[in-house]
Amino acid sequence: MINKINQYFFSFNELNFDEEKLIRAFKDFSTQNVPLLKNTWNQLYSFIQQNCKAVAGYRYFESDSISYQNNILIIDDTQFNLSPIIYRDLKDATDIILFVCTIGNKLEEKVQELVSSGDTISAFILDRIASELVELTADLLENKIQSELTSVGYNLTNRYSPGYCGWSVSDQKKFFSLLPENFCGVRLTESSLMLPIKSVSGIYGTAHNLIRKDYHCEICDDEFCYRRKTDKGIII
Amino acid sequence: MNFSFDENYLLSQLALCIERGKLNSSSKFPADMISQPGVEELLPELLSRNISPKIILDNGLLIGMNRVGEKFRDGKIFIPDVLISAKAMNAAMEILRPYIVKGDLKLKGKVILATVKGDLHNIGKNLVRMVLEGGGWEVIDLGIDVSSDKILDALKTNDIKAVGLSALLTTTMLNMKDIVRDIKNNFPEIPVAVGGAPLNQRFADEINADLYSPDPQGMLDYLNNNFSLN
Ligand code: B12
Repeated sequence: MINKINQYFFSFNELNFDEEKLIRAFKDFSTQNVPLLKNTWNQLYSFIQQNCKAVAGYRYFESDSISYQNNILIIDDTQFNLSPIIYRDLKDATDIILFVCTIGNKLEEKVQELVSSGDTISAFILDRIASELVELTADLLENKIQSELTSVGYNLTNRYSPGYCGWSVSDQKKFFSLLPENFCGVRLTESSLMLPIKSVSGIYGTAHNLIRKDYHCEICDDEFCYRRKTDKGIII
Repeated sequence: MNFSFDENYLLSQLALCIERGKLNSSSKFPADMISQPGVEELLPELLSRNISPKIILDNGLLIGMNRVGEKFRDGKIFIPDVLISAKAMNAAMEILRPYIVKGDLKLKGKVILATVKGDLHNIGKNLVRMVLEGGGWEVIDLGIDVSSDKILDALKTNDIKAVGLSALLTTTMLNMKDIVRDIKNNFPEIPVAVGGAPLNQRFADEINADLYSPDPQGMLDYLNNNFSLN
């Protein structure tokens, strides 16, 4: 069975971020300026490779510590007021996984250094690359968890994070109270900001033979959500 | 205006270099302008022909930046290209700095920028700064995790035209409310602009901010429209 608590350290190479992903992440650069993007990437590459410290971990809660009630998920004694959109998906899960991942603060510090030296464009590029890397860390963690679960016939729901799909970001406090202190090197400030900044937290449900649902944007009223899908089902 | 054909040509080339973000002849981008002269060659050339810094600013640099603004509003270019132009503009302003220091050339005015209390997200605000500076405004950047006191102090000691506030999360954007209130209580005439990923017009209205803009260009346009040049 899957470990109750687990941590992974991923090398930069495992994250698999290459020039193709770079170009995809910067589609808003005009073609004429792509040489600048590639040049900056080449200059920053070895720094990123050496200083991207991807760490990801999760805590697994079995069914005896989970209960559900009217859009509320209760883990041990902690209540999460999930929005209908998340509740609808998670309520079929018997077990719950809370995860955190980060790439550390070295890239963030470098962004600051670049800004201070007046190179705001390189700072902007590195900042966005760092965001991509932490998302890739979360994807890699998902693969790890899913492959451990597959062996026992369990599947994961979609991934949800405090601050998305109507789940309040202030629930981060309760979320972190269920994890060991400084888990994966991430801590929370008074205002619910995770440090290092390039960190992500989230939740999965899991159950035997669970079928993963589609995202359901039409029942969510957050007209400003940047992940909102259009009528054609494309995430804008 | 009475310039020779040459000088008008140089000014229009300078505007083009700002529009396209062409820094100097050795820069590798934009790819279609390789080995052509850039801002760092054209501007000194104009100065050496005794064209005044003010003419260079108004008839060259700002024309280029205005075109960048138009293209951004029309959805023809996005943030990275705006930043690339702003960078060329910042290089131009660096060359003109001695004239600004002497008082021969005036910037449009001073603006305060800050990421609000409880929030450490810096990059959005830095991009706003770059675009405003590129548009000819002087920015007093108070940094991150900034409370009302620091902003009120800066308002007391400087001649400020507007304040811009930034936040990353819904938890930290709530701190904007008190800051806007404190500014309005002490300096009712100072407009406050707010921005950052979780914000929207509805929230800006609720906290009595004067402007919400999803991008730096919106604040630049607001400043340019509301405060006449020099
Ligand atoms: C990239 C990203 C991340 C990255 C990096 C974040 C970072 N701070 O570096 C990662 C993956 C780490 C991340 C994590 C999280 N994120 Co996030 N993230 C984003 C995303 C997609 C882009 C943010 C960004 O960096 N943009 C690039 C910078 C340059 O843009 P910017 O700061 O917004 O600034 C621009 C404008 O806003 C404007 N602007 C900014 N300030 C000002 C000021 C003025 C006066 C003006 C005029 C304009 C202006 O100009 C700038 C240039 O265009 C946004 C959604 C979106 N599309 O905006 C969500 C978003 C910010 N994230 C969100 C959330 C919830 C989170 C998490 C809490 C999720 C989680 N539980 O893990 C964490 C929090 C991380 C933490 N440290 O606590 C929410 C925040 C809303 C909320 N509910 O609080 C957003 C809005 C997504 C959403 N739900 O719609 N995130």
